[in-house]
Amino acid sequence: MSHPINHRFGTYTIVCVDEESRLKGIPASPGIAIGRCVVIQGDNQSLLHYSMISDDKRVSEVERYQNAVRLCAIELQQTFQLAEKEIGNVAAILETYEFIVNDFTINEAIIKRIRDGFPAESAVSIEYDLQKNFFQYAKDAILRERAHDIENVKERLLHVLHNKHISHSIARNSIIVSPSIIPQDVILFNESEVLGFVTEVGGITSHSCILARSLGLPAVIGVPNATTVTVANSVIIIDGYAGVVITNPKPETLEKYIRKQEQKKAQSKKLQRQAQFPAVTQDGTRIQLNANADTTDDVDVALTHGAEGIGLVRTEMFIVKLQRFPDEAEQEEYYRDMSLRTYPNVVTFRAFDIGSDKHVEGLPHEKNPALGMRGVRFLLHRKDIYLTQIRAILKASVNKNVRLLIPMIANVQEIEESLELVKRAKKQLTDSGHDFDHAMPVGIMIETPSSALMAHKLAELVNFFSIGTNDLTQYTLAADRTNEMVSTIFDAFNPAVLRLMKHTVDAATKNNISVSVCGDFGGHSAATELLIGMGINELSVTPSLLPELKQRIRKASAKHASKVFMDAVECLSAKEVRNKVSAVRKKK
Amino acid sequence: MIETDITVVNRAGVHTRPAAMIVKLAAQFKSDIYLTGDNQLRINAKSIIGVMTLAAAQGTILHLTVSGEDETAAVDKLSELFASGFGEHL
Repeated sequence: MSHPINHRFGTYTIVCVDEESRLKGIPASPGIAIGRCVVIQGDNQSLLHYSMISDDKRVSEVERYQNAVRLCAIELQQTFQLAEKEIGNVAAILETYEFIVNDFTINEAIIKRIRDGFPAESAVSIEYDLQKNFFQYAKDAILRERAHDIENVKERLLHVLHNKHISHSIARNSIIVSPSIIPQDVILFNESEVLGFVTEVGGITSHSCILARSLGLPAVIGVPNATTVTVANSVIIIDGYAGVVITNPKPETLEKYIRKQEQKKAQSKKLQRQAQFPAVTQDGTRIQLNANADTTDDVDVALTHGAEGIGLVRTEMFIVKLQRFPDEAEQEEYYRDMSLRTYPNVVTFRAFDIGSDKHVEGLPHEKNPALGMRGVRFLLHRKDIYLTQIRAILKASVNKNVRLLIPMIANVQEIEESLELVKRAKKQLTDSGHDFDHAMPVGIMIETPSSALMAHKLAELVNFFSIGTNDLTQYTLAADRTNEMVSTIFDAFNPAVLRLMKHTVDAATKNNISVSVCGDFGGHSAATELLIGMGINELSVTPSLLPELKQRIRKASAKHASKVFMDAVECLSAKEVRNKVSAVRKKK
Repeated sequence: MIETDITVVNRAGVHTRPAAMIVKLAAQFKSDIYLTGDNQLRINAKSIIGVMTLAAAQGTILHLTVSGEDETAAVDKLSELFASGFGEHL
């Protein structure tokens, strides 16, 4: 691949454009795009350009405005239909824009202004800005994001009034760099095979970003001065995983990214098609399919494999990576990054699950670490660490897609003390003026027989359950999962384990809280029918297992699965359960 | 005229999508439908911008005022929509 040298046709420039430079932004939609840059400059038309209009022209000015509204609505409708075919539900965003442009209250206000002598452009700007301001100063982060929606619709209207359109045909195979991008453009970009986009304004919860993610269109947002530092028609690379834009890449950089792009492409194309289907059984039971992920890379893999959320983040992996406890700022950054990449889907952070088997400061060596100071026991012993972690997770919860999961609960006091700490963390953050999700769900791991047996009581205290089948099996059958000598005893298909799981699921269902399975059992091919049969409504597995698991769910019938499960719990042994399940599978 | 209180039960509150659902539903009725939020602002439930400005978070109690020939049906359907949490995963 040759390296482009002339960036500006026929013009001399004193800027050294050949220098490779990296611009840091926010990763808004995963993927790598390499292409020619199309720079769209912002509209800086000042309202002062317009003077008041005379009496006799006001009626036609109102008509000009009303025509623009109609045109806008039609455009939005068309893109909505286009988008609906491709991405279904997410397309509803465009429908909202149509509602906004047709909103009679704002229409009335604008028409009144025009009748008072304001040109349509000024009237539109003034009224939309009034609404925008209201959102801009909202307390809620998600509501503040709606200011962009109002701004987007305003810009669209002004463009139509000016008869200006982004020429989508020239945009083919290019990367768009623009101050901001409206959802409608994202759809049209996709139609005209634009490779990706870069914007100056940020906001991962913006509707444009959500659309880009569902279309698989790489995007980096929040890059300061993007439109002034990039050169039209030059080659740029956008890395939507890391949130990096590279202008004038050196040949070796280019090669590196071409390789990375090919790798990712090969994996994802087929998967993405499958990922579009929901995990619903033949008779309509919907299972939420999540993935376990420990790093931001895992999140990307999970989402391309069709995960609807992240059901388990083992935060202790961060300690393992650093070889020490991360401080609050480091944790916050990590949690925030994970939650942004997962948005709008939910991410579940499990508090540090560590014990004396993993050399931790201040803990004596224990003879039997699996039954010792691990999980919540360690956290309540080191409340400083626990509180810091809760605060960091809360800070990352502003977009309301974060859940906190407490490991190794064996009794009710551990829940009460943990909830007390959550309360204290919230108070501290409120006092220091931090934004967070006041209703962040807090759930517990059900991985000890005691918590499973008491699930009907514990369900009243928390927002969700997550069954850790590996530990639940180990503790129920008193068989160390790492000891090969007892590996035949350690078996999650044992009816005793199944009964504990069933009791947990029933308790959750009765209290209307969600219950998930996040252990190996969840991804086991012979277990799917048992899980559906016991009434699980959420599963979280290793990303690579998702496509097959989804296929099994889509083939299953909940009614039949329930019968299979009823039979299974009447079995005497794990072996008998396995035989029953495999007999059923063969019969099919 | 019927007046009643309705609670926002879904986690994310009345954000864009629920707002659109409210407006869509409200538009099906001939009655005048108003919602009053925490900020004492009374808004027309048929206006999306109005409903969005309610900024109603989870747990907010909104005051619903409906008057017109189909007021009973309108109150029923709107209450149902709020109670369903706008189809959100609760």
